[in-house]
Amino acid sequence: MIDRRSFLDWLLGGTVFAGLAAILYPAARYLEPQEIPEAAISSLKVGTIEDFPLDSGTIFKFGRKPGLLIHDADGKFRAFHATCTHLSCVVQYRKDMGAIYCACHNGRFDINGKNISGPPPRPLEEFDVHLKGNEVYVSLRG
Amino acid sequence: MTRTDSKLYDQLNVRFKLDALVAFLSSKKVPRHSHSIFYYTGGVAMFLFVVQVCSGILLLMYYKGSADSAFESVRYIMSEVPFGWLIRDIHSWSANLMILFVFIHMFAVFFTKAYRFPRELTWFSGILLLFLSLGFGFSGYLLPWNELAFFATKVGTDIVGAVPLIGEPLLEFLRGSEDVTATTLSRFFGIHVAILPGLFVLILSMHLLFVQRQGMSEPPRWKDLPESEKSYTPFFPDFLLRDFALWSAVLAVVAVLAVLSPWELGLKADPFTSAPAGIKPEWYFMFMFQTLKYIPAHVMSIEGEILGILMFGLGGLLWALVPVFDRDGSRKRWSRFVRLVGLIVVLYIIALTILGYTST
Amino acid sequence: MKILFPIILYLVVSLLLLAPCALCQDEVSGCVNCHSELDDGDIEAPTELFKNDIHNQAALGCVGCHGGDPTSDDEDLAMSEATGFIGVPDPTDIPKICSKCHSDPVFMKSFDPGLAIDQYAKYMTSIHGIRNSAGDTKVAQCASCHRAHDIRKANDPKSSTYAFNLPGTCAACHANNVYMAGYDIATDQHTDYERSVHGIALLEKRDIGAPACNDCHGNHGAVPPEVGSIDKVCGLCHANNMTNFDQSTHNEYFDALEMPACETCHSNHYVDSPSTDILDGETSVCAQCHNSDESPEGLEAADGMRKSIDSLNTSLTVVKEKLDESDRKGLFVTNALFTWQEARQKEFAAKTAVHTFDLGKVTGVTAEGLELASQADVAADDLLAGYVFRRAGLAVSVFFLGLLALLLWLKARQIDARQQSL
Repeated sequence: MIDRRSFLDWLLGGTVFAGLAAILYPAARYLEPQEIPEAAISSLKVGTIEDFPLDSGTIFKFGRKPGLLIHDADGKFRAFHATCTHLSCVVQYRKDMGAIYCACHNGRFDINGKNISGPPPRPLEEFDVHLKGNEVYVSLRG
Repeated sequence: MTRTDSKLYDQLNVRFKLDALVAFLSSKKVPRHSHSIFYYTGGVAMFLFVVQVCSGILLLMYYKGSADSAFESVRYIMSEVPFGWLIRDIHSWSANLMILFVFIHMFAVFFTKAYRFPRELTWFSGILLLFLSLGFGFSGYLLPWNELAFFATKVGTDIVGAVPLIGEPLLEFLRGSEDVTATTLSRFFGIHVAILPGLFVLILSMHLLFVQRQGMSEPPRWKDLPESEKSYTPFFPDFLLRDFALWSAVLAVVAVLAVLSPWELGLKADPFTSAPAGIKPEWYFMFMFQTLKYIPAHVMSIEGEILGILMFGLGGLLWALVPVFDRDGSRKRWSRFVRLVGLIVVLYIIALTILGYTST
Repeated sequence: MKILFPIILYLVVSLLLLAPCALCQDEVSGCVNCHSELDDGDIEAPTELFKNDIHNQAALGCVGCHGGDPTSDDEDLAMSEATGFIGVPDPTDIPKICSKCHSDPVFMKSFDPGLAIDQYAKYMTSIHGIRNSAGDTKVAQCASCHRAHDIRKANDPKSSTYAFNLPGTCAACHANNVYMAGYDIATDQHTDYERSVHGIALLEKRDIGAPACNDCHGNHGAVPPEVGSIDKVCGLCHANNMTNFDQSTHNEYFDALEMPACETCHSNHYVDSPSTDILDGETSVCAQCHNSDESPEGLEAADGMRKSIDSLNTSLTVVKEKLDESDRKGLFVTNALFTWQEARQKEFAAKTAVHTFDLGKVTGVTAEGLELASQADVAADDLLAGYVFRRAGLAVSVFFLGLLALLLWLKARQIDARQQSL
């Protein structure tokens, strides 16, 4: 009788421990510091001024979506959502045209993101660009 | 029976008078009869509330309560944070089960007439806890800021707005603006994680205190029973151990539901799209939502929706005040009538809920 | 007296300001007053239709096209030849009537400075214009497409020339085989167009950027594109395909054989969504010219391109199935899906590269696509492995929690039993 009782107590203690572990392990893992620290980014450092030659465009990843940073011939930075407003292809800056170009259906946007020819129905959405020292930051508008 | 030979116990006893507590616990007993199982329902609801608090605190570590990042932060919790999906799914499932058990607990108390003297205040505080639970559900539903939640909240608050006199100001107070907007999300967030938990813990403490002071209620028919035919289970440790056993089992059920039937996140709320088809409230609001659909647009110059809300308001009030109508000394026929009404209410809720999910 | 002067000035100025408006009111009501009262549908209808007409909104009345004197109450005087009344214009006169104003840069500037004034000139170069001026009253003139009394700007969604409505407007004549009987051209363009990738995009998916009839044929200067210019027309949107083709060896041979660039392989009105089936096998368009005896290299290259693109497509399909499965199991696929979409873009790019007719370039693009697809594949496998881990973790947790419940219950029973025995 005594044996059975102490066996049950012993087993119970072990199971309580295991049950707690099953609860605490996920919680502890959950609280680990994360490599990708932010859920929704509203601002992003894309690089330093030297990374972007004059009169060029660079694609960067803003969260899950592509963005296009343009360093124009006059040294001004502009950034847009790089998704074409026609069928969502990724747009690029074309130095030879001085315009933003979508290769899918020859859509063109001027350097301010305004749709100027081809099928795109709307201008590109724009990011704000800020310079801190020689670092270039883009952030969501609004 | 209690082990008073422990040194630690002695040390604590000198300071905190543990003997009194032990005496209280060992004298506490739970009646044993054919419906004893319903004594567990309140405990399960409370356990699920604890699960809600724990998982809610964890979610708060990553959740952001603003319109431009709420959806993204929930997506982040579900996709990037280890076990984040589990915490979120547990929070959602446990919330639904908690409300289910609050309902079961309430009906168990109703049908065993445990609300009668001297437990009227326990019943009233329980009713408050029910409304707070529904408030938790309603405010929490919006927080992922997805399309379905957005429109469900819109419809839900619209119904609040139809209440005569106080509806309009209440609507704007809830929404924080004329429409469901980013402000509404901030408000619901504040209500969900600060106001409601504070109130809930306060009232739950009172509710539990009442139960401890008065002991478990006995079925009305026990009054005529001789003492020898009554049978009890000691609360400590027997009943408590069974409580723990049930809670482990409930936690296992929550885990199974969370893993095998995860909650969708859907699309981010966009105030400028039209409402998707088939907007449905959470299941525990379904019977009211469905009733409002069946009431004609106008009933004798009163707007149907307002009539429905008034009816539910009145019905809810009568339900809450049942300890006043149905007292210890009430006649048998009246007592049976109250029970019959309760039965009709249960059947009505079940039928309308089923209709809500099956009718198109 | 001093006070009288400002009052008189005020009255005079007010009257002067009111005067032009009073006049135009009179003009409109003169014709409309009578015609709107008449029960004859043909005579009455224009008064209702004209209300929404762009010309009416610019305060240009009936007289501009029909002549006559709207200020006269007398029916005979108002519509006498002396007032320049012409009644219903003859179809062959309509282009000239419209061009009176629409080709006048000074006049148009005061109404719509942004509107072109070359419609008449272009029209006269079109088949429609040439036949119309030769006296053919059945061919399209201005009113056939723009309607007579309900003329709206082309960007007005109710306009007969708005992009979504335009194919129907052209089809009113061109799909009518009775009406077109004497002209010796097909009448199936509209049915072909409707099921083409362009027709579906415009008419079903409501993509306003997709081409309607006029985007290839021109609007006022409507003619079929010439053999030499069809690649320019298609190249308006499909620029890379055009460039690739123009720089390829095919360009020269197509010219020499007088084969139109795009149309030879893709047809004209029924341009189907491009599939690799047109490269190889029974439905090969390459085999129209290439044969295994004289130029087997061409067929081999086509075969290679097809295999290369198909292999990317197959791998995309396999990965997509895994992602769909993960999605059904409630796993979070968004990140992997992002990579998958990048790989899919490479499939489009590879199809564009086909127009270089250079196997190396196509396989170069598909290799990039395959690389991305394999990344997405690894991500999908990770997800599915995570799912197995979830199940295993669940099984272990449920086992322990269940065991705990069982043991606690046993313990409670044990204590119960002990108390009974006491």
